[in-house]
Amino acid sequence: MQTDHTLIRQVIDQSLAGASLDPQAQQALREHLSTCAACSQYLEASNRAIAGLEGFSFSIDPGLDSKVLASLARRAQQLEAARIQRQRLWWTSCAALVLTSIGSLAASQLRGLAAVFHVGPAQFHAGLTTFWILPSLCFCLLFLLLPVFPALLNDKKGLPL
Amino acid sequence: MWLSEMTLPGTMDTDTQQIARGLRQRDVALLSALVAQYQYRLVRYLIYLTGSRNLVDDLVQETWLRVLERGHTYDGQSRFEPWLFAIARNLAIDTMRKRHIFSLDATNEDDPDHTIAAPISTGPSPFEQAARTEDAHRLAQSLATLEPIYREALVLRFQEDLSLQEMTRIIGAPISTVSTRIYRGLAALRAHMEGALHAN
Repeated sequence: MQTDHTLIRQVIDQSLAGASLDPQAQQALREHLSTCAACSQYLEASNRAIAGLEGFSFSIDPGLDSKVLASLARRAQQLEAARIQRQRLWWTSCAALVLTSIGSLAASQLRGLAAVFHVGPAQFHAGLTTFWILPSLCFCLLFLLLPVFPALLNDKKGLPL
Repeated sequence: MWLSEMTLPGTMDTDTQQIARGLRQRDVALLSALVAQYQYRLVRYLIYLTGSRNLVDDLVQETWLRVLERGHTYDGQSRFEPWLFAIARNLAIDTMRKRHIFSLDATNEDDPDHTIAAPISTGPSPFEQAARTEDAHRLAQSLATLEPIYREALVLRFQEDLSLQEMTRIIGAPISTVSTRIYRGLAALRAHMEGALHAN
């Protein structure tokens, strides 16, 4: 008999916690509650405790909303500024890449320069790649990495990128 | 209400999708509306979670900033509240860890002797201050001494009316654990309520 009550109270708890009961369990619960004062009282006490939670009314600092909204507006501005900066750097990087490509292509076409430096065409191309094209490409990529540096240096203050 | 005003005629957008889109665009007007709509519930959740008013204002502010910054991670497929409370919860846990107040995830629920130190405060608890009915006054003492994980389960289930699945997403624990927390929290309140009634 005690087991019955324990089981029924578990079902009551499950039901209150939000678990879905199958029709048979619901029927068994109804039948038991109609004849068992102790379990009915258990359910009533549970419902009363839950209803009691409605009796709390927490006060909110009247200035809190305006503080939150002000900090949101400020942060949104910072994030927007960071986005614009990132966009600018992206376009600058693209432009630098295009200019580098054009310049490198033009330089590679100037075969006469090899004679000016008294080197062979292969050496000229190697020098051009080492001292012009690669550094220029690195420089272009540097624009994209610029916004990451503050975040790497100071993780807390860096804007999320 | 505010969302229905924002709905364009003829669109099939749900509220959550509108929120998700606004958050992706970092729409401050939408955020202001969300603050107005959810502020009280956020404050209440944090009070239940921390058992103190001291940290709540800072946590609320940090939570909304995090919503602004990480709004793009809300997909609009589920309700907004669990996502908001999950952010608030993570911030609260971080803050409490840093201040060595207590840890929600360090709780050993299988150890009946295990207790979590409640935030040290003098004067009435936030629950005693907020109690407006006789039953609430009876429950206030019980809530103040109840472990935070059980208070959290109670507020999410019975005040926020979240489903067990939604609660698991916030708490990061399986349904069985969440259910157990609800049972134990409710048992503590029931015992206190019955004790107070019999005493009267």
